[in-house]
Amino acid sequence: MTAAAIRHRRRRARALWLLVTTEAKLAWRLPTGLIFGLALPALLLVIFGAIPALSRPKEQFGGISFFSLYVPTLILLVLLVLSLLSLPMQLAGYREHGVLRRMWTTPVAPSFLLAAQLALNLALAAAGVGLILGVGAGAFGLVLPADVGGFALSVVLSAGALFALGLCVAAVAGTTQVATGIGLALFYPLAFFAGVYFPLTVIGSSLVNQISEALPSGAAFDALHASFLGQFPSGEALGVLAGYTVVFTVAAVRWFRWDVEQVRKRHREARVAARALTAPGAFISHALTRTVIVSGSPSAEQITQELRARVPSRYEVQPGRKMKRSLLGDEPAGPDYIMVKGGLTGFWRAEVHIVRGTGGTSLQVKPGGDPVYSRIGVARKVGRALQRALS
Amino acid sequence: MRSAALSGADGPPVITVEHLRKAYGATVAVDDVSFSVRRGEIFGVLGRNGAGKTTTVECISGLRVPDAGEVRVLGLEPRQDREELHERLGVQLQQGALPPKLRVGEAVQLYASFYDRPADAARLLERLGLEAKRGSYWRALSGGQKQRLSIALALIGQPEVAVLDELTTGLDPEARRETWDLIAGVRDSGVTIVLVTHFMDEAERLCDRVALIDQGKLIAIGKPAQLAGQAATAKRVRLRAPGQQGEQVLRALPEVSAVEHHGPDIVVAGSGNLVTVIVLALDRAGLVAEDVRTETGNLEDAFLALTSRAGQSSAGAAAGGPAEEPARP
Repeated sequence: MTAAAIRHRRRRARALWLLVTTEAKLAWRLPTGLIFGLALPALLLVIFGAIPALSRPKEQFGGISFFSLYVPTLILLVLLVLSLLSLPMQLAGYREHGVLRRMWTTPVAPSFLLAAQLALNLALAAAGVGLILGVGAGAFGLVLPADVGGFALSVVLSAGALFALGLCVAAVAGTTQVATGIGLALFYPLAFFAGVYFPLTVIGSSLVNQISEALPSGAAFDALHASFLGQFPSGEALGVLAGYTVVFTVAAVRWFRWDVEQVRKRHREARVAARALTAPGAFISHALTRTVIVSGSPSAEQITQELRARVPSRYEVQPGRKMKRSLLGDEPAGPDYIMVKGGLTGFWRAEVHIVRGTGGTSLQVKPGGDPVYSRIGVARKVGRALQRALS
Repeated sequence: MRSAALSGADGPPVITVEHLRKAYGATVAVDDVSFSVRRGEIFGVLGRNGAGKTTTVECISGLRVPDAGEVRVLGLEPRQDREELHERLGVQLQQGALPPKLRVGEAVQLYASFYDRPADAARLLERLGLEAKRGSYWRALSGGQKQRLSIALALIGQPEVAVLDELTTGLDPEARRETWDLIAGVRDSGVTIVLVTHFMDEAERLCDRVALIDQGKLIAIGKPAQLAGQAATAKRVRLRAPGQQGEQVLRALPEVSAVEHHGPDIVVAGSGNLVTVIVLALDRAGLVAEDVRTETGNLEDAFLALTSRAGQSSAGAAAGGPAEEPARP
């Protein structure tokens, strides 16, 4: 390597370092990430550590205390906040406001800024994990993992999977607002499977466990929990985390665009693709439709009355309305349509379409909203009621 | 000040754009645009909003990939030689914000670290009148100050060429004039400047040459005075409408290229000694030329004349390619 090339490299390294320190200053000046990513988990640790009852071993938690069970969760809370909220919001904001475009016009690529943001958030994550371990061990007698390698591997792979997912959010979100929306939509369920709301062991359901093991936060919890119990984390958990890291990284690299216009363009393409995807949905709903042949030709009012009399009173019967193609909406329709809605949200529902042919009248009962539950729930009841009353 | 630029106008062009084309879906933003920029000049890219100016300079800056055609900046291909190009090309983009809580001094220091041979940050800030604002956050700056910081960031790498996109839009008149002086000063220090603007007065005042772009097409290129002069020598004479017969007489004249109605008046475009020709011809036909006025051209007239021509008949100026470039002095 020539001397000039070495100088060039040094300058690039200096640029990256300056970017990281500048990002750190900005994070200090607008400390949302610091508060929710570091201070909040540490505060929770202190609160739970200070309650003596939570430090007693419990049979329901497999012979350990709630406090010990909650430490891996707090570590994951640090990672979840920084990876799914802090990082994507920052990066989407930089794209939205043209900071990445401006970077593009300099000799260093926008990837330097992305790398700096990633490095900063990873450093904060490391600090957060260190804070929890330090305070936990120093003040509340937390037993640190005996197998340091297994624990470190669990933390690194958990961070890998979650930060790669965060980069996917940053890649597809055009604006800070969208990034926040997607980030929160991922954060809440993933936080649940990390045990943030309550330890998953209290559910004791094998289905929940299976789902949990397949998700990044659940697998991460299993790996971290095992290390705190003094075991080496299971190959399954580490494998799941490594798999997510690879898949999300590839996806983020493929999807990431520097320019907000490019992101919008991709959204337009995605909408076109989504329209094509509703075709299978229509097919499924068609396949789940049942036809009831009725004798004579009852009027729509008659059918409505029969339905009101025979379906459980929690269902609402609305003549003259039909389902929209979207998941929840419905719209006014001719007298040949009747909607039956159940549940608070109307998510379980069915549509009755009266088809008057030359051979007689038939009624098509189509499940809506969530097609599966509607099929075995409201649509089945509506079909039976019509069968009994009219055929 | 312009003479300083022209002395360096010889030699190979620093930017060449050949048959550039860029479409977004069905909309053609830039259609077969060709021009070249000489070293040391302020080259204006002038057009209405949405004419395709920004797309053109984004292709020059390597931000967009052209669908067809070729762009060379300092002999480099903007996408392939991105890193080397941006060492030597400074770009100030429309709507390029910075993090709200980044201080002016920090921004300049940070961007200086991106370049191999950065300018002296303190001197640059002083030159742009921002030395007192060193410690201010980006969000606390006024529009003019933000614009000046953007220029500073475009110049921090000591570029040979600077692209400045719509840099006086949204500024008050005084800030605009200050910015103009600044740009002229930058050019005098030897930087070639591509200035994108939709303000005619800005182009007329600052630019050594301008390219007029309308609906994605290049409709004229040349010195502002020459383009304005073209509108004047392709002279326009306004007079009270002489009636059907009089118009026929005028249209038949070899010197007259067009006759247009403007309310009670007609505007006759043509070349040569147009006023005399018109008066004599009408006199021969037994008619009187009333309220005869010649219209002096400025760049705005040239622009309007050229764009309306392109709009009326697409086979006109547009298909004929850009107006002839004047021979070099």
